[in-house]
Amino acid sequence: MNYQEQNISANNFEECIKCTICTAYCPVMAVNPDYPGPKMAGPDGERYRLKSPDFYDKALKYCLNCKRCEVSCPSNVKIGDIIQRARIKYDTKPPKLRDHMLAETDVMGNLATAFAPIVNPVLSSGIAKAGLDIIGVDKHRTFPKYASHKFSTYLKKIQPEQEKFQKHIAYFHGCYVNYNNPSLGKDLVKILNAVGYGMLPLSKQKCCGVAKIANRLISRAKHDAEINLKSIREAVEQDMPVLSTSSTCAFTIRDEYPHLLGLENSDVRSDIMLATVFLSRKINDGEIKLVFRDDYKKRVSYHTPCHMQKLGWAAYSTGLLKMIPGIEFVPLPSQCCGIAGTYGFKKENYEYSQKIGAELFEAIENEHPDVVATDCETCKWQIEMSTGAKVENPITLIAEALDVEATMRANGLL
Amino acid sequence: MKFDYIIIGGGLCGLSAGIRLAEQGKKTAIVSSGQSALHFCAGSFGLLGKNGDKTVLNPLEEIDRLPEKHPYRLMGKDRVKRLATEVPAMLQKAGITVTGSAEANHFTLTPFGKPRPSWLTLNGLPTFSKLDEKPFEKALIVSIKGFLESYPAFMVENLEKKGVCCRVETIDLERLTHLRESNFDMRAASIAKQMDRATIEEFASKINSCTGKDESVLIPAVIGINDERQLDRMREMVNNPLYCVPTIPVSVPGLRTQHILQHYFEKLGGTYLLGDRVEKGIIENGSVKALVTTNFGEDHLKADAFILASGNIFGEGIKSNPHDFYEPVFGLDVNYSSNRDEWYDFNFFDAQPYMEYGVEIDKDFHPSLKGTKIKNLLVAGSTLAHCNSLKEDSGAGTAILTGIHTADLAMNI
Ligand SMILES: Cc1cc2nc3c(=O)[nH]c(=O)nc-3n(C[C@H](O)[C@H](O)[C@H](O)COP(=O)(O)OP(=O)(O)OC[C@H]3O[C@@H](n4cnc5c(N)ncnc54)[C@H](O)[C@@H]3O)c2cc1C
Ligand code: SF4
Ligand code: SF4
Repeated sequence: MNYQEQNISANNFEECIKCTICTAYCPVMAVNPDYPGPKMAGPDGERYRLKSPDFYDKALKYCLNCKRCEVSCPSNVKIGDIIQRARIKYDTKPPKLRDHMLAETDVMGNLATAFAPIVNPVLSSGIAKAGLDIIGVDKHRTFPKYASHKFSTYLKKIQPEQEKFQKHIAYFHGCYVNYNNPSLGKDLVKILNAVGYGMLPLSKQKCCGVAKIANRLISRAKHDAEINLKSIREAVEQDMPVLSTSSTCAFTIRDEYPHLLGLENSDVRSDIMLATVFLSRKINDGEIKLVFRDDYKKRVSYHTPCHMQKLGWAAYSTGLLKMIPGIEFVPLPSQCCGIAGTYGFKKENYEYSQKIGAELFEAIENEHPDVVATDCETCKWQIEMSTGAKVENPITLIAEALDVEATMRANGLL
Repeated sequence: MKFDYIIIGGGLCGLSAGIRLAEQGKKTAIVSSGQSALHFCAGSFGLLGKNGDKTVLNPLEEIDRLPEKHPYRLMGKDRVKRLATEVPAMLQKAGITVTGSAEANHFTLTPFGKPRPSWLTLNGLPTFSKLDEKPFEKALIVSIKGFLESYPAFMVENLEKKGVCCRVETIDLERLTHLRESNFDMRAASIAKQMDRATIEEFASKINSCTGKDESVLIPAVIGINDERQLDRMREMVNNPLYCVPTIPVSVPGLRTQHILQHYFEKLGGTYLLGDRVEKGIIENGSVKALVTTNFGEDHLKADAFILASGNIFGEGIKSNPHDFYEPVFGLDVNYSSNRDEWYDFNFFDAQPYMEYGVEIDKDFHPSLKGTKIKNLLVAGSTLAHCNSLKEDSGAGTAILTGIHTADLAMNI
């Protein structure tokens, strides 16, 4: 009988060997002395909480859920999951109005895109910022602009021509592409079409739920997640992989659904991936080819979002960027930018958020790239606000640099 | 994904191998599921510090007296000597300055102020050439207010035994006031992250205002978490000779070494996959075909040759259950006693036999699986059997030298 294996809980807190390595990598611990850090909040605290819920420390709310502690742990302890589950289980205080507002990305997005010409100036106005400040949204933050047409509407419109392609993928566009940046979705359509793939919508999609999970709106998150999983299953049954252009959406659906929402997804997990992963794999297998323009020249840095670090896929995105002959690639150290989705929007976190990102901002400013590439939209907002550098998704850069005609010819489509 | 070479484990050993391969222009990846034992390294690298009860003064000469299957014996004394001579230059290229040579061990101090034999010592730590030598005439031992991980009282006790005249001062640093509010944060790495230019200037001037004539100043190793030049700047600001003494882990010099080596490997074009775990190796006809990892899933990682540098019990390169020790990735043949009572010594501080358990290799560093040699796989570092890094004080030496050695062997397969 294997006693050791039988003594390990599902969240494996017992496997912690107390080496304290994780504490050296927690971005919050380095700036906020009120936060007990991953070891204490995670495996150590779990032992106490099992004795009595009274040991729950409300400072756990400072955890960014960046998972950098998990990435560094030599014993593979699921530290971040332990902390987030404890927040869900023991923090019984109802979320604030502000938290609801930040978390309901779908509701807000639908309303805002409908009235984009009105909403955008209002959100950036002093009066709205003062109002938001009162309910706890930091006044330094600029809300991303809303688009006037949703990407999902566009995707419906182009469906007939997309169906004509022989091969298809389904796209999980998420809230950001849908409400704020439809052109990123269009960039992906351009690349896919050039290599012979059509993009189809999922039968139905909701926000991935990351903001609801972070703000403990668990039953709402679960409701949306079940809808997403159902549509993903339908797509996979039709042999379509499900692509995303946001590392956080992909991470949430693949890992947080089973770990934090208790939803089984093992039947489809490997079919959900970032668009850069899909393209790299197809290129490596010799199934598709990308050809780039000669006149494209840029100095590009890549910032590894925390969830991208956890997914372990940065090598795919940087690999694609390095394939573009006109790109001079400058690596950056993998560090948290401090925003962590809705976290940095909260007034009580703003200062810590900027302190966490300071080293990264300095590194970017020292490298003075033409553009910083990154796979996460909230990292984009944070870096643009804090450094003035231009930030784009790798897919946008690939689409810009792509020689569409030559690519189509190379893939036998012309 | 396809590489020329893949290394499993990104500690001191995996990085040494990776740098060697990347320097030759090979497309190399390192997969590392977590951070490494280098975080515990106090700041001195041991080649061979002890053999049995004996303190080793000349590590190269001692090699022939090691057990026959010891990795250094398998490499051969000449090869150990040649590679050991190349290491300081390799480290310097990456941005790590060391003192010392393989011809003769020198000595440095433990966190408790005891002498410790060393092959190479990182910039800033005190070094002295003879075991019975007095490291300083007079020492000012500086502790930082609220810091939990330095032990000035032990330091005084052990240095006084050597006839050093000691004095302790506690210095309060403005920027740490906030940090001290926490019960958890006063650790070496957290303090080191607060050491910006202004704090270092404050630290240096407070030291200058309390040092006496001819005193050497010993501060805990909390300066230079990203870059050793920070330490050089502080030494210029302090009037008396300034040294760092190691703290208990996580060690700041160890952390810095890990990051500098990783960054250098990446600058050479290497791919470092942190936080990914090799779950399984696919072996066909006595060769490793591919690796299956947690993050790459069905996109198997392929290469011409592979190096296993996954550490020992710490780091989970070797695992155990109540009956057996095993190597979890490939299931390689492991050397261990079948009698469980022989695994450990009840005296916690004595050499523990299980530390010597590891993967068996042939003279070319190839492992075997149920007796069959695997042709394109090599094993290095603390994963190897027949060496005990803690007992021999040979951990860093074994990691670096077998790492480079197997990289060279891999290029000749
Ligand atoms: C507490 C302590 C203090 C020490 N102090 C010193 C000192 O002061 N001086 C000195 O010279 N030596 C010291 N040593 C010894 C020396 O540091 C180690 O022997 C040496 O660093 C080992 O290096 P390594 O690369 O072989 O293994 P490790 O550093 O253990 O690295 C192995 C890596 O492989 C990863 N890994 C394991 N399995 C997998 C997998 N399946 N997939 C992907 N990755 C995997 C692990 O996460 C780990 O990062 C110390 C050791 C310990 C434990
Ligand atoms: S790194 Fe892992 S094993 Fe070490 S203290 Fe943190 S949780 Fe525990
Ligand atoms: S998830 Fe991030 S913020 Fe939370 S404990 Fe881990 S490292 Fe710290």
